[in-house]
Amino acid sequence: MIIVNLDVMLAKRKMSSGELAQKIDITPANLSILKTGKAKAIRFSTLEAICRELDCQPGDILEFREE
Amino acid sequence: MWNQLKSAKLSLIVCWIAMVMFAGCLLAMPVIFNLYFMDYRGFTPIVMTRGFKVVMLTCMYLGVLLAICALYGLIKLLNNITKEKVFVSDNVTFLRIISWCCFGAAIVTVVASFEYFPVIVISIAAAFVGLILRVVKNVMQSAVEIREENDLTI
Repeated sequence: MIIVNLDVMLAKRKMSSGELAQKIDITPANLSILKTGKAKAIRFSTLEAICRELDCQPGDILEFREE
Repeated sequence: MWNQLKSAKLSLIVCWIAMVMFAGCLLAMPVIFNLYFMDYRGFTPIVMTRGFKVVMLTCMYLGVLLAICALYGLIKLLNNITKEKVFVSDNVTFLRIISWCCFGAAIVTVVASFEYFPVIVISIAAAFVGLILRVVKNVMQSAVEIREENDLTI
């Protein structure tokens, strides 16, 4: 399964969820869906925006783990 | 200006009118029965046995109850649509209820057709509408899945 490690990256960059949501122009509710792992998919455009704002690679926020 | 909301509201009004008419039918059923099967001079065109009367009246009552049930589902469905809740699983349930009401009416009229054959036409029509609604329900079910998938794509 794919795990979203957005919390870790946010902590490293000392950025709040609300701030990130504002910067990448999505609603805090949608960001919360992503953080809690309820999301079924992520658009490339969203991933791109997150990577740009957090200055990281997709691999830093997404992780594959054997079920 | 004519728009989608007004269209849904109009359907809702028509449904309520139909609902009131069917409720009226439920109260006036024996009168309707007599009007339909006897002419005003009291002449009986069909040999009216006791069994005929019992079966036909029961079927008519059941049919009207099923129609009211279906209308209730339809009104609920339209209410959801006016609230812009279109592709939700509740609507799939309502469509399923309406479709089963149609099939129920088809069975009831098949029973009635043993006593009075022409009502078989209603049975065929009801079964056909039920079938169409079932397909619409299946489409709706797929649409709900797609919407949920879309909502969870961030």
